[in-house]
Amino acid sequence: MKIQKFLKKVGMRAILNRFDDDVKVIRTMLKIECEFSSPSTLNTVIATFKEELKEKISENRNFFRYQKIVQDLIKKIGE
Amino acid sequence: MITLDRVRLLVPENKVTEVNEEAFYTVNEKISVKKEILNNVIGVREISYINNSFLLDVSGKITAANGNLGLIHKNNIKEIFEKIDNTGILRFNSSPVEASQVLYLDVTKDVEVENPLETLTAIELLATQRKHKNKILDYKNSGLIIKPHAKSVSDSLAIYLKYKEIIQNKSPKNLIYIEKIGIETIEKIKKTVRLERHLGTFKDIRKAFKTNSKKIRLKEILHSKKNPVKDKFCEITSSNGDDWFTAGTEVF
Repeated sequence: MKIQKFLKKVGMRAILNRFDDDVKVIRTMLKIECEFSSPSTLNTVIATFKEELKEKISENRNFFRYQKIVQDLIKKIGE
Repeated sequence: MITLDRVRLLVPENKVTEVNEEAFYTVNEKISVKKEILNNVIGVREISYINNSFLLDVSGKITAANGNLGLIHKNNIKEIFEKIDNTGILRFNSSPVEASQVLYLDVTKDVEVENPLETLTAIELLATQRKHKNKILDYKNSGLIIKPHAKSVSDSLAIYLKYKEIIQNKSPKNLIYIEKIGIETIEKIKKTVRLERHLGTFKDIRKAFKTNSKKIRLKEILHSKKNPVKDKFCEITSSNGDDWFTAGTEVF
C-alpha cells in the first residue's frame, strides 16, 4: 500500500499528533493496514515512512502554532 | 449578541405613512431611490418599492459615530429606522422591526488578535484542508473569503483586516465614513479581524439560525441566541471534529 494513500486514509493530523521518536504507533498502524512479506520489509517501510513524516513536520512546522491561533480565535468568537 | 454588518429587509407598505416620491425613479419597472440621493446617506445602499413592500438595504455604517465602526444589533435597530425616517425618503408610522422580513444578512463579529496577518495565514492553512468542500478566494485585497463549491449555496465566510479594508477604499462615501468614525478609531482597529458570514438565501439563513420560520423576521434574527459566525468558522477550519480526515479520527 502506498504510504501517501495510507497517510490520507488515517489523516495527516492524526499522524502528526501521534508522531514521536519511536515509531511504535506507526508500526502498529502499518501492521494493521499492510501485509509485509518479511520483518525487514516492514522496517524499510517504517524508515521511509518516518522520513516522509519528518519532511511533513518540517513543512508544517507552524502547524500546531496555527492550530492554537485558530482555537484562540474560536474562543473569542464565542464570547 | 447577533451583530450585522448588512441586512436587506422587506418592510410592508402599511408600515410607511409617507413617501417622498421625488426621491424615486423607475428603471425597467423597478422603483428605486435615486443614486445621487443615496450617495449622501451613509449606511443606506438601496431603497426600492417591490410587491407592496419597501426593500431596504442597510449597512451598519448608518450607526457609525466617533469611535464606533457601526453594526446593527437588537439595541440599536429602532435608532436605525429613526435615522432612515430622518432622511425624509420614507416615514414609518411605528417601528417596523416586528414586521420586517429578512432577505439577506451579513452576520458579523470583530475580534482583536495579537498578529492579524499570522491569524489570516493560520485560517487559510486550516481551511485549505477542506478544499474539497470550499474554495478560498481573495477578499477586497484585505483578507480571504471561503465559499462552497456548490453554486446553489450562498453561505460564505469572509475574514479580513477591517483596518486595511477601510483605508484602501477611496470612494467619496467611504471618506465621509472615515470622517465620521475618526482617524484615531482606525488606528485602534489595526489588530481587528472581521468575520462576516454572508447568507443570501432563505434556506441558508434558516440553516445558520436553526429556524423553521416560514417568514424570517428581523426581530427573530436579532434576538437569536445562535452563533452563526462561530459555527461556520469551526466548520471551515474543521474544528467541529466532524471531519474524520482533518480531525484525524482513526478509520480502522
